[in-house]
Amino acid sequence: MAGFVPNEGEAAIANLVCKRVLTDRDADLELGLFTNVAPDETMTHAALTEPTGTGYARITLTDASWTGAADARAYAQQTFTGGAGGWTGSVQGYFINTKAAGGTKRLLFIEIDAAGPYTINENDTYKITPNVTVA
Amino acid sequence: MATETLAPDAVLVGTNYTTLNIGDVDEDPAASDGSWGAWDGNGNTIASVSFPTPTGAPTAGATQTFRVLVRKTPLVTNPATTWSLQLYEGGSLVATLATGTTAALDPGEVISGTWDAASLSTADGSAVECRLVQTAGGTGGTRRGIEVGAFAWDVVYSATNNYTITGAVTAALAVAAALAFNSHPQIAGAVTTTLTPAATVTYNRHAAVDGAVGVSLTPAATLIYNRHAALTGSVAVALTPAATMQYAVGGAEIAGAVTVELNPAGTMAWNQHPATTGTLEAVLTPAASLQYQRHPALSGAVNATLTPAATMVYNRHTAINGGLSLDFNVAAAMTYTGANSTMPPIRFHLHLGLSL
Repeated sequence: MAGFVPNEGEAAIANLVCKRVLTDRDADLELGLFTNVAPDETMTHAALTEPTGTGYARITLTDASWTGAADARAYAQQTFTGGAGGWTGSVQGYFINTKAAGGTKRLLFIEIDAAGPYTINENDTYKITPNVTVA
Repeated sequence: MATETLAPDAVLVGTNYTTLNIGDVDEDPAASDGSWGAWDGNGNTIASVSFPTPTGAPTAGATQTFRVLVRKTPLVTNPATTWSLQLYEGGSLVATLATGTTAALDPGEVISGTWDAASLSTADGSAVECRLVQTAGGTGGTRRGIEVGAFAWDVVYSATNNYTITGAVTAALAVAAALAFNSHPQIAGAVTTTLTPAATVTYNRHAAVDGAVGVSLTPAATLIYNRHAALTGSVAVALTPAATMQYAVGGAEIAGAVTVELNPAGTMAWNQHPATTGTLEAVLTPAASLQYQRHPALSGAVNATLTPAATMVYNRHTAINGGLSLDFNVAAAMTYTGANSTMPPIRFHLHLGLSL
């Protein structure tokens, strides 16, 4: 299914665009994998669960590295690779959240992988190409 | 874990072979194609081959197996021909996996040796080599050689899955602002209004206006103009109704100059009531009867030009402190009633078509 902006992301965008509140939007974003089953609009960053195991860590998405024009933005493909022993938890999809030096990280985008969930064993890879359209 | 069998992809060493082509040894040892490396008749043979990189990294702790199809050359005498099967990595010996003696003539026999990937320096298996070394074969004219017909590596590796997703997040923005536009009270700037109703019009003007007001009203029929409240700016009003008109300045003070030009097509009744402190310029030219009534105090000058086409009645009461200049152009009968005191000079210019 297509990814979406949960309520927390909507609020963050509204604060950022309309009120220029930068507290919860420090430089760069983060890309991560979640194991929550069927997250919906009410999902928050605080409620996310992620796989655990060697080699799993969120990937930083540098602000300047987004490409695209008009109402669409894209980011180069990013790869997660299972380390020794694999990971615990079935990966349901990916998410993108803000980084917040002095505020609170906010869940901006989340997408359930329709082909998932996946169990990530050692040397398995999960490659994600982020795309965001503002319609 | 997963398994696969790899055939060699290159011959690295072919000692004491006349020919040892990769095409001779790249089939499965269990299904030989009948091609062999050919001993050159000299010393012990050495054959070494490399393999492509396995699909997954060879699993440490699992059994990796080399299989080699070998035979001895068919001479009459029968000296023992012995061999050593070895694991090499990047040209260096890692381990001797097995040794033995073969007496097999064509179609040969399959020998094997096992090893553990934990012994590799390159975990993905890309540097693995298999080497078969003949260690004995007799001497002189009875010497025999060991030839190879096929190599294989039975790989046990860690299976990997490669998942991909092309993200497609849509952020929908909706804007629906409530709009309410109410423009009520004070006007600080100039206002120009042109009203041209087809029939009766009632114009009511209230409240304070600090700026100038220019109003042009041209109704096709009756016009009723009511003016109230305070006005501190100048007012220029041109009223040209096609028929009857009633103009009443009532209520309150006018501090600025007032210029009124009224040209009704029919009967006109003009009533000016309370105090006016500014100059009043009035030009009244009704097409028919005109009734002009002016009542209380007037402290400014009044210049009035009255030109009715028919009967005119002019009633003037109370005090006037400013100059009064009246220019009457009466086409028919006129009645003039002057009352009360008048301080400044009064000039009348009467132009009568009949009699006064």
